[in-house]
Amino acid sequence: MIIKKVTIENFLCYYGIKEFQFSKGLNIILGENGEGKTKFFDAIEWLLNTSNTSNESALISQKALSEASAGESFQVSVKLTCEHEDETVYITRQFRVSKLNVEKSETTKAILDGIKESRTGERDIVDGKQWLDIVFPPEIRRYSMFKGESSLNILKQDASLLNLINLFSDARSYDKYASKIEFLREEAEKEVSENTRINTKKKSEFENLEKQITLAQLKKSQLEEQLDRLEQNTNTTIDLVKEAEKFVVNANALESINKRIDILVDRKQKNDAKIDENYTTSLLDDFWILMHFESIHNEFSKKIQAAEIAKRQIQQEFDISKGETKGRRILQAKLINNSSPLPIGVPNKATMEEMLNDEICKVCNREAKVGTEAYQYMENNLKQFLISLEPEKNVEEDEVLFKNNYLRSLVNMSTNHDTSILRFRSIISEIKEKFEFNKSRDEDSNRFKDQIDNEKLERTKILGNSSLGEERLLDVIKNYNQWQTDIINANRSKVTLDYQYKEASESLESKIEQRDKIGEQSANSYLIKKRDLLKDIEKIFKETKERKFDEFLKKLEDKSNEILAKINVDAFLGKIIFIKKRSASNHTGINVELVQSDGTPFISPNQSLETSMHIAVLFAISDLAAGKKLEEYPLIFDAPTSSFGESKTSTFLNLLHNNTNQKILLLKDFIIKNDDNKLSIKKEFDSVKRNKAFWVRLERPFDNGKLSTINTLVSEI
Amino acid sequence: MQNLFETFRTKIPNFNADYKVDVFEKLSLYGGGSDEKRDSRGKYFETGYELYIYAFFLGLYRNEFVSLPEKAKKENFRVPIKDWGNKSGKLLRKDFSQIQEYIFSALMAKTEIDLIALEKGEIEEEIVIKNLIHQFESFTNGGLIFLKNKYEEHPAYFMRAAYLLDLIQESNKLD
Repeated sequence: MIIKKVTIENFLCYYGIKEFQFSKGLNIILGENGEGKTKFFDAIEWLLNTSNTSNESALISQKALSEASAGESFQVSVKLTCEHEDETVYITRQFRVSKLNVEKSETTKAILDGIKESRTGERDIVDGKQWLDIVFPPEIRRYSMFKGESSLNILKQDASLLNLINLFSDARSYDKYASKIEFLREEAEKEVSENTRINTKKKSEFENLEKQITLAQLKKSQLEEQLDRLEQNTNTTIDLVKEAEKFVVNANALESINKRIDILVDRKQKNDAKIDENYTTSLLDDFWILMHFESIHNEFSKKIQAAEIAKRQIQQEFDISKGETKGRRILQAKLINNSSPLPIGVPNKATMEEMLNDEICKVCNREAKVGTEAYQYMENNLKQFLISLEPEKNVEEDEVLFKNNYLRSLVNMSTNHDTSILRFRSIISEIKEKFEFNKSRDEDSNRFKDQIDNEKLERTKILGNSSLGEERLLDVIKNYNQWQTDIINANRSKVTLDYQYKEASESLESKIEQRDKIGEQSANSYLIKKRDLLKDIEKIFKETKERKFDEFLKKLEDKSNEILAKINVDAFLGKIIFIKKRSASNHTGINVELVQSDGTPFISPNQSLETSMHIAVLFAISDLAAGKKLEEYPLIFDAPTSSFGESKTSTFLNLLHNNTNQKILLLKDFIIKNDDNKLSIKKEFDSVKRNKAFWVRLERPFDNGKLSTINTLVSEI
Repeated sequence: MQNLFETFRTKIPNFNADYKVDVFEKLSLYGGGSDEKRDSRGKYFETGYELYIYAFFLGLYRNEFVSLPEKAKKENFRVPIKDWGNKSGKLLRKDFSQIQEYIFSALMAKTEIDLIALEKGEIEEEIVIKNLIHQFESFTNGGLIFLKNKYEEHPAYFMRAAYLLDLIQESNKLD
């Protein structure tokens, strides 16, 4: 679409009918402040913004009203003549004014008319609103008209840039399919679930999992909302900080103070991290609680030692007494001349009994009457033999004094603990050292805090030298430090929320996996294959869309930098980067940043650089859209380069001229006031390449205090 | 090898149920801690038995031996001594399970036990263990009473990071 002509009739300072015949490429409208540039812009805005129907009477040219006689009526209108697909379309927004008397007038409601003219000259009346939307779609209009430098920053909101990219990148073509496939996949999942519920033996497990999945999904989406909210709040705060910094005169000093504060905060945090005041934990983990344990250990050790000694003594006495009995027996059994006795059981039991019975020792063939020594000897031998036949164990049991041996492990424990005595003794000094260490870190921390406070004070002073009004400035200063703290806190919360979100996602995935596993064992295999196929297709669509989006973003970045280099020729440049942000909740956002050659962002780029960046991005989008052979749309700027200076504006205009898209620029540059107070166009403007140029200026003489004397004249240069 | 310590470790000592609210829930995360309490890790104990150990040593060092009243309602943590201080997945904490041995040796030192009779088999192991646990519960009870009184006097003192450490430091009444 090309705007061929704008006709303004009795609208604000435009008295009578004023026409601007535009061409493709660069159209420049020059004008001093207050002479009609912005009113031209307002006229077009009024035509396009049909929803604004209030207060038409405020739009009437006061000169037209004052010059009309009572009972006379006239028209107020703005007409757009544009070329659209080989047809000419006329869109007019107009209303009539009837002057009743000097003080009173009536206006009709504004209406929008449309006429379509074919190449052959046939004219049709069409619906003005409908055709306005056809020739200049509302979603494009938002990004076509820019009033002042600040409005160029349409990229400030993530959504704006995202909308533009979506509008022009191939990724858009996938949208219509994506939602259909998502719907089909969800349906296929439902079918599998239904089928599983009917067929599975694990019905209750399956249903339980489905309930858990619903809950997990709910939790995940709640976390998503929290994350989005947090991100929005953080972005708003970051914007507020940036906005506040713009008003600061000495931006470099502010930047270096902020850097110093960052370093100090970092040092303080690292120092704070070293302070370990978990004394209660150390009581147990480091055994500090044993600080008075030495005497108790000694008590334990003595007790165990004493018991052990006592036990040994008792055992010894017992052994001795046991040994005496044994010794006596041995003594009794001794033979003459200490010769060794016969083995026990020789002669055998029967022989011994026979010899005792006969009272004769048949070994030495002598009499051995009852009561004699020889008889007793034989009797003892028999007894010994009979004892020897009894089990050995019984003999031992009778002789054991200590049934238990608990003492051995107690002695071991006491011995082991002996080695800990040094440890017990060192605890007090360890605690002392810890306190001293923490005290010294505390002092360091306080020193860092003082330094940070001083830097903040310095920063407040710099903020105080700003160009901002006093009242607003106090507000900014008051909030600036709080905003910085808010950002740090928000980033901390984000780490926690990101972690929770990751956990929730993993838990959800694992539950879906478990449910699907049951489904795969139970549901109809055709349904499962169908679902899986749709899942795959959905994945392919998403990935392709993402890739197309990334490709477009890369092109946009390259193109923007190309344009930025041309605008800022021979000047400090920087590089525009597009950062695709994907929040944990999977919402995509785009950040556009201007970075220095080493990749670090400008904390506070000057207005001219910032404007260059915005224009570069806008033109890059416009260029890429044109390159895709999409319909072209005009870009209309009111004073977009007020921070540029004349020489840079010339370079900028020459650059615009190289681009064939239609642009209408309203500028206050190149106008000079002569000695006799007359305005004229500077010679330098001759060297500015353009397709068309106009000069709007007030008809002289006029009375500053009377609007009825105001009339803007339009002349083509 | 016969080992009194091994038997002792299998036991779960009791405490006077009155102190569940008065002491345990105030100074430890036992009974479900609020987030606020969790944040002040280091000032408070993470588990009930950690506070139990603390109270025992406090009672021991201060020589505060108070048997549990016979009619008192008793409560425990359902965690046997052998599991006390095991690291078992706790980040930021160390294993201090060896504390079990020191508790046991302290109880052995402070309890009247005829070790010779035990060795001879004249008294049962179970009787000795019962005595040890009674001793354990009594010193802990003494410590808990002391803590409760301190808390009632000056609850704000407990907000100080080093307060519980200070109490132990100044409690050497053994000599």
